[in-house]
Amino acid sequence: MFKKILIANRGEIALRIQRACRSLGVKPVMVFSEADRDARYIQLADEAICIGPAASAQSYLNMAAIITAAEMSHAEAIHPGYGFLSENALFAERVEQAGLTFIGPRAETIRLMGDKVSAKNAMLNASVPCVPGSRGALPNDAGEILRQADEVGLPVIIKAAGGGGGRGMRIVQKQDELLAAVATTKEEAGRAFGNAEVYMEKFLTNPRHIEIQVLADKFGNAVWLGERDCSMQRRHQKVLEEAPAPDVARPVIERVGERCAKACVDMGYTGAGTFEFLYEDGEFYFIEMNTRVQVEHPVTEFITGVDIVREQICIAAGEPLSCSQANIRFSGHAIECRINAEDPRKFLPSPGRITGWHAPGGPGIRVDSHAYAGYMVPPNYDSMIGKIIAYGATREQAINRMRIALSETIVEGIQTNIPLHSGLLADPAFVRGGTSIHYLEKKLSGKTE
Amino acid sequence: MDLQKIRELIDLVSQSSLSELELTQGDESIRLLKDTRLSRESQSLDPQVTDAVGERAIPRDPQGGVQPAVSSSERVCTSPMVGTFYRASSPGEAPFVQVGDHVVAGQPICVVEAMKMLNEVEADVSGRIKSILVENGSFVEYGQALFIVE
Repeated sequence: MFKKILIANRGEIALRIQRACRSLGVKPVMVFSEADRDARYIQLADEAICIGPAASAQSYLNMAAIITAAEMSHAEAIHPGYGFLSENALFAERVEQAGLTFIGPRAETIRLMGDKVSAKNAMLNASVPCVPGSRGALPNDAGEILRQADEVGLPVIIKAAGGGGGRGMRIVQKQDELLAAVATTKEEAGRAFGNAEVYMEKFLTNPRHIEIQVLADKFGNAVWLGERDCSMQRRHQKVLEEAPAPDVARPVIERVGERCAKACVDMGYTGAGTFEFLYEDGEFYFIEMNTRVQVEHPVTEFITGVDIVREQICIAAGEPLSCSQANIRFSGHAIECRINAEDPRKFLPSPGRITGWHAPGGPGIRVDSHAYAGYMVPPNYDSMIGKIIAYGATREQAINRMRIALSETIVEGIQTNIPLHSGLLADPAFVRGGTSIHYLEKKLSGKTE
Repeated sequence: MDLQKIRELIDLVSQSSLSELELTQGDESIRLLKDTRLSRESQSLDPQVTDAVGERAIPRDPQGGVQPAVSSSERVCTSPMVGTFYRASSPGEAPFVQVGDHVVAGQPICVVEAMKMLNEVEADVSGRIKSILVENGSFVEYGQALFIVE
């Protein structure tokens, strides 16, 4: 086991990783930008190093500063968290070159999954069901592009190979828009991602977003830890997540889960990962894989009892998985609400000082947050200030507990999206379950389903 | 004198109000100095010993990023990056500046090394070097005070 790990992230996930380190007797080293200097989770840390000014590019995205800080503090490994450098293959390589362990999969795996075309090919080879679409990147041949669109069937979506997470995508409804859409997406992709390759997929009109959590060790063992329904999204950002996915037959989940675990073994995947799918009419369609821990990991932790971040560290330290597929049990239902510092109606960010903070509690309530009364929410990073997770024996109980928790929660001094969540928890379609990825935006724009 | 004993002595000095400890055993002796202005762990140990200890912690500076108190005619030069502070461009070379030297803005006054790359740090004001706050070869954070120029 490592003696010391440097946590290359900030906020709630840095605190989460710090807790996992402490549970393993590993010393955590924090890094911080000038904007996070006074945060309590930094002030209370045993070791913390200032790596740069507020701007992410010079701090949390600054590979040299982070690796130097790790070397200087004699950390043996670096945990990248989520976002920032967590899916940066070059960073993973440089960490390893510096003689440190990157807590995550190998750089070549990150690269494979980071290119959405090669990721899809790897999944097809592993018999993981994918969205019907072009075979690989689209060629520059107009005739071929039109032919493939015809085969797939309109509407289609053009996606950048170097994109992901909702970026670099364009929907095409009519054939006469197709070639221009491809050209524009290629142009944008070249500029945004340095990679102008695009591919085509059938555009599913009313899918749900259901993802599968996996863990794989360095000995060829891989397990799937069930699914999460993350359909409640606004502009491709998840707002609320739950596990398990309501009204999806367990044998269907088992089949896709097993395929994902096998895909991990086939590609030599190590660490935690998430296979993201669109689910429509009882079928799963792979869209992309995230090669890191996800924001919404707590809902899976609640229903399986597995500590995913702790497992990541153990896997990286060369230990075998602590659980086999046979002894993973799914129990109960968990819901997570992402609490953002933003105007609940206009969604403009609301940074500033939190003057009053009262977190919920009680049975089945977990709060993952670095915030507190007096905390200054900096304007330089994303607006998420914490997550409230509610667990119940049934979905109904989890919903009830979350409603109570939201009603107890007080955040003063800044605006939050708690009113949005309260509305969602009372929404009849949400309570019925199974709403699509378009539901929240339709609801917000005043159209009911 | 074994490493474990040296580690214990370091902890003793850090956690106490002592600013200096000198210990002689037979023909071995060790002297530990604590810089009480910034409460940082002693840097006067032979760096090779420090590296061999392997678990050297970079302790939390209770003053955080607070700069040393300076008068209005003085200016603190801070590190623009994380890395190792060196007084000269390479071992064996003369240091860029000594206490008392006059410097002009833009003149290199030290080097900070990170990932095998040396970055020259320039004085951002002209004046006289009043004090050098960091030991040669020690680790510096972004924004850490390096020199006082008056």
